[in-house]
Amino acid sequence: MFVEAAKPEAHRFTWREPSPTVRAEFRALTANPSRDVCIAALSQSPPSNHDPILVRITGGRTLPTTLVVAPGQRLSFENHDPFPHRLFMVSSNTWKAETIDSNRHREWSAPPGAGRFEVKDELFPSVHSYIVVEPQTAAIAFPGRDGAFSFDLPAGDYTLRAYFDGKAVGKPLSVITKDRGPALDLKEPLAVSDATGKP
Amino acid sequence: MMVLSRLWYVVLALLLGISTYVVFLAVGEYDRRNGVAMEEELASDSQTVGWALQIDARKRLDALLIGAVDKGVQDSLQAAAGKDTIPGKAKEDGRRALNATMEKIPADFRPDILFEVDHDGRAVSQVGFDAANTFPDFELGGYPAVFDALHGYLRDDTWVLGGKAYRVVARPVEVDSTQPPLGAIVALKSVDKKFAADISKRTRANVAFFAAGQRIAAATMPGFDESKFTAVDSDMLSLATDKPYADGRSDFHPVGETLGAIYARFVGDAWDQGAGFVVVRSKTTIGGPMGFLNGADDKDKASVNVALIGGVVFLALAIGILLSILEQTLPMRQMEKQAGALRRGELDYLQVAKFRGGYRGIAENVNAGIERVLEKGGGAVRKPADLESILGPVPAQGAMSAFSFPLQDGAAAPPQAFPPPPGPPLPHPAPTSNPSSGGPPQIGGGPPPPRPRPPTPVGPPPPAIAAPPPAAAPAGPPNLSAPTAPVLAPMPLPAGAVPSAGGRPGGNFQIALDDSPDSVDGDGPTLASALSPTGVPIPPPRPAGAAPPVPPAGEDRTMASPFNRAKPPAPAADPAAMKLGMGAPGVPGARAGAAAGPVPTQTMMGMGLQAQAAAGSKGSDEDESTVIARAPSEILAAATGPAKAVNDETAEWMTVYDEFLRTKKQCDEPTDGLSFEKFQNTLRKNRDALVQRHQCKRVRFSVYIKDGRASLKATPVKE
Repeated sequence: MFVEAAKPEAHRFTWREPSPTVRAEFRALTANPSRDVCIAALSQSPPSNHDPILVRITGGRTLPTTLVVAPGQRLSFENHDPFPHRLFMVSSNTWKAETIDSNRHREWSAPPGAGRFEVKDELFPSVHSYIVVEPQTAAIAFPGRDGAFSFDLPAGDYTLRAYFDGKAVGKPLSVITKDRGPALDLKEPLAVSDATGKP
Repeated sequence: MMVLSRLWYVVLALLLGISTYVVFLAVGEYDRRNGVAMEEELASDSQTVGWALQIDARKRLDALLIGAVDKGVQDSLQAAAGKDTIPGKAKEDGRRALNATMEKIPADFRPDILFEVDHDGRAVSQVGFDAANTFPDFELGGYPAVFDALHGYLRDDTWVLGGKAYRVVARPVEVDSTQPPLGAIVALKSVDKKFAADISKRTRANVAFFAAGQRIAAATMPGFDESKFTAVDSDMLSLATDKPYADGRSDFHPVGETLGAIYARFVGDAWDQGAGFVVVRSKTTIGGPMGFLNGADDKDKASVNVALIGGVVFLALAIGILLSILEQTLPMRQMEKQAGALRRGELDYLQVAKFRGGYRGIAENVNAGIERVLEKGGGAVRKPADLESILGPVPAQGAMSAFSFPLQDGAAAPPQAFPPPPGPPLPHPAPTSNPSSGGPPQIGGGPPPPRPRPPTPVGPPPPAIAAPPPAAAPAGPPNLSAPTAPVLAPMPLPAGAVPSAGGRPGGNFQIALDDSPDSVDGDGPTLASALSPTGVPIPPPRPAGAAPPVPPAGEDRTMASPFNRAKPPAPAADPAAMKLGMGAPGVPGARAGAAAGPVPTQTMMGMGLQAQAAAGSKGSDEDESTVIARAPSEILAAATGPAKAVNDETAEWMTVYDEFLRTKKQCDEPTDGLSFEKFQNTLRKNRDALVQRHQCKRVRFSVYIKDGRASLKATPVKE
């Protein structure tokens, strides 16, 4: 989305120029893992009855911007801005634009089966989030500023997969957890992009 | 009558119509051109406002550098970096740093809100947006401008937050060039009344900003009522279907009858939020011709060339008055003057020559009325001079006369004077038209022009002449050209006449009175010609009731007399002669009734003209007069005593005789039988007649050539 907004034809700016004191390598428009990347633990027998997941609306976007949920999972979009938002599900006849005042929330339940849903805001074009409904989703985690993430999973075989911009990125990573064992550290990182930075 | 005045009215009416037409055209053209100009001005305004916003953003972006390099801001961001929860101290330090930055930014570009954002997009501190304090996790990192700034870009944007529009600029905050930016500083300028006024002042445009279909701020130039923007509010709804607007700038929008508007979208996030600005101008229309007056200010009125307008008005007025004076006042004054003179007895008739146009006709009619009244009352009536009463009978045609006509053998008949009919003047005979062509009345075949001509005072009326005895008019076929007109009696040949062989007496000549304007007779042009055969003395005026002389038997010369009254029908006339109004040549006693054109009501001038018309078949304009110059007064004074006068006259006549003979020879005319005695006798009788007729002292004779023949002309001399 930010790459698209950086194009002149998007009419999003009058002036956009690189700061001469910032090195070019830092000017690459890269996602913020803590905001834009979602790690999903996929399992053949995922647990059910998850609590609603809080999605904050603030800063011109939702946090997180990409979510991977199991069917039936409820989401609560909560407005943390001092002004209203009007979120809507793209191509949805049931979740149309509706005003969410400040400190208010609006819920959405993931439909059965796999799917990918796009959430936008009528009042803020920068709000552009994705919800991936994955039936095998057992748990999700969001990396911190340092990229670290953690799960609290029951014993079993899982596949860890990163999602960005509503799509799975990088290579999935298989892990086996044991019941009541010590914390399991990943022996290798979960790559979410190649060397060029592309997912 | 009043032709020029009426023509002037027509000119004025046309000018008025043209002026009105031009005014209406001007109104339409002015309105149309003004509409086009307004559209162009609006397009210019819209473009100018867009550029002004760009420049404003650039300057705000540059001004924000103060905050980007502010140590307090940097320290605050440094303190918050990497922390899950932003330390309170970092927030407070950041707030102070932002306040300091705010103070350092020039007032013209000072923002309303300042944020410092860490690398994750969290708002560490803010100034001017206290609502954000409610949300400890308030962020800005999702906005592309902030995202770009966090990645090392200077960037501007336009946001609409809660229905309010903000112009946004953001810059990265750096501490170490080897590291990514520490964060960003973001400045927001509210698009409010003050901002609108500032933009309007810079661009001299009436501008309003709107967001989400609502007008949020507006500013106008002096003289433009801001309430007019309410009309724009409703027009704004049409933007949803305005395709050019979807591309950034709308076409010209007429708003009501008097406004025009052009809309433009904000760049930035607001592009998709239906935010933008509109420039408005009033449509200056005249509406109608009076609109020029209503819309003119003092400066406009002062620029009017009053002197020129006054000059035009005065000129038109002067022309109108002058024409009315010329055509109405002066003739009326003349009429009044002459009417007064008529009443006082100073005039017997109106002086027709002093009138023009329709007034002349009136004067003529008045004179004709006077005549008719006089006639009814038995008074003396002015009538045309009776030529025959003066000169006596003249031959029907003179061989050398300008009034000669071809005889039967092809020779010209000598002119002949006929005694006027006795009794009252004859009425005008009915005009006769050419029976073959149905054309207009022929010369001599009918009366003179239908309009009655008042008699010109030419002296005492001629004595009444008795009608010729019926026996003098031999029977013959009626004149076909004028069957109802009296037929001319055969021309009497006075005693002493020396006809030449073959009916063409070589000694015949004519004497014509000089009627040229420079005639010395003092009467001006009066008698056009008098006819007399050569060697035949012009008979003296006959007393009233006297019968005209009877031409000798066998005389084949005939001539129509305009003064003959009812006479026996003439034999069939030669058409050519009939056409000329003369009796048929070779038909004794034939009289072309049509030649009886002149009637008693005709003036001498009329008679002369008619005689001239009848004089030659080649046209009356061939009658040329030779004028004898006035005798020098000293010569006349030198002549004393009647004997001397007689001798002088004889000598003069001898000169004329010699000149006449020489001229006849030049013209290859016979001069046999033309002795000086006969010549002198003829001249004497003509002189006597003219002296009596014109009350002149003497008569001068001159020789001239008429139609290739020698002729004589008599000029009465009064002095």
